[in-house]
Amino acid sequence: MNHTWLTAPLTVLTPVCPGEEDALADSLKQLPQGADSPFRRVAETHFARWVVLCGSPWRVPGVPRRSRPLRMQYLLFTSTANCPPEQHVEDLRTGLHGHADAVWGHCVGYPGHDRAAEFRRYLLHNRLPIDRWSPAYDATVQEVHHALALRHRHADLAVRTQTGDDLGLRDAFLTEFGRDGT
Amino acid sequence: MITVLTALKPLDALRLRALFALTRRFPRLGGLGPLKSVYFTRWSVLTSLPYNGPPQVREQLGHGRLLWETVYSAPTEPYVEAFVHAVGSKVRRIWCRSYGFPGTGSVTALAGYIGSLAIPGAYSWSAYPEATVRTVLAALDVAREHRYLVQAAHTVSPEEFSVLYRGFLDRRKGDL
Repeated sequence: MNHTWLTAPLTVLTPVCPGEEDALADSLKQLPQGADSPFRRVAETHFARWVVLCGSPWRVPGVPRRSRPLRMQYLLFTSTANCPPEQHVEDLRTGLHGHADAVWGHCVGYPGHDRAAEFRRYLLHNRLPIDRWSPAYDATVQEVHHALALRHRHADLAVRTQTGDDLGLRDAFLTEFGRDGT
Repeated sequence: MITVLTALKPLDALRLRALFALTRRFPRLGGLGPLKSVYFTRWSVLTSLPYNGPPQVREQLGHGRLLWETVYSAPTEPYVEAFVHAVGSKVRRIWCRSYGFPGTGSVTALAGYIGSLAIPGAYSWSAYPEATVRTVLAALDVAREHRYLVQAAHTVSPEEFSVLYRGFLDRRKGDL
């Protein structure tokens, strides 16, 4: 398969402005979901997630008392996309548009999506290192969608051609997938 | 998706970074390769957090934190069970450096540990929410063979194509 870029992770941790934690939670709840999600407009993104970190992990036994929980809340953003981080950040800016402001606007130092260079600098400054990364596959979103559709069509064709002869099978295959194989 | 943040024991941030560097260089050593129910897994060792100026406060992370995030397509408990069975010793090697880690001997205990530390997602999005990892891997395998079938459909006799296609179905019957 032709890759423009290997499947790559991005992790960004930004501090939530004190006093804006509830407003951030409301903004995240109000983001459109599923087919209406603004992430549909962010090129080559397989998965994306926002998580609010607050005080974890001091609820489990064994953690010494002198260890301190986080002193403020943080917004953790993780995504997986087939492009370099710099390009992915730009895609987030143009794809999420005002939704980026609605969420990251509650974080300390966020410049706004309309300031391209500052937006890129902000997200890359707050990027966390990834020490180990394990993808199950290395395909673009488009390749995955194409493969899923092909699999479905092959399953249908297999059912339809169960009892046909050899000539009929090849004709059925070419009819289904055409001369260019798509 | 599961996100877990754990507190590391003294010197273990350093040891973990060395271990991860080693497994990046020699992936077989780490054994954290693809699992059939996990799309993507990432581990980060944190010893400091990016600072953006006031009103952000500078955090004291002690001996460091381990951030684990995994995107999976199974209920948490069977997923943890599969995870433990597939890469138990490697997971133990990574997580034994975190306070409170119960080991991989008991799936229930480990699931409880992960459950108690898992940070709920505030917003999640998937480009193909209807497809499990297994489905995606199967589809990619089918797509790979599809190209050869298309080529064969144009170049070989119907009888030869029939043999090729039946062979494809035989190999891929579990994937369709």
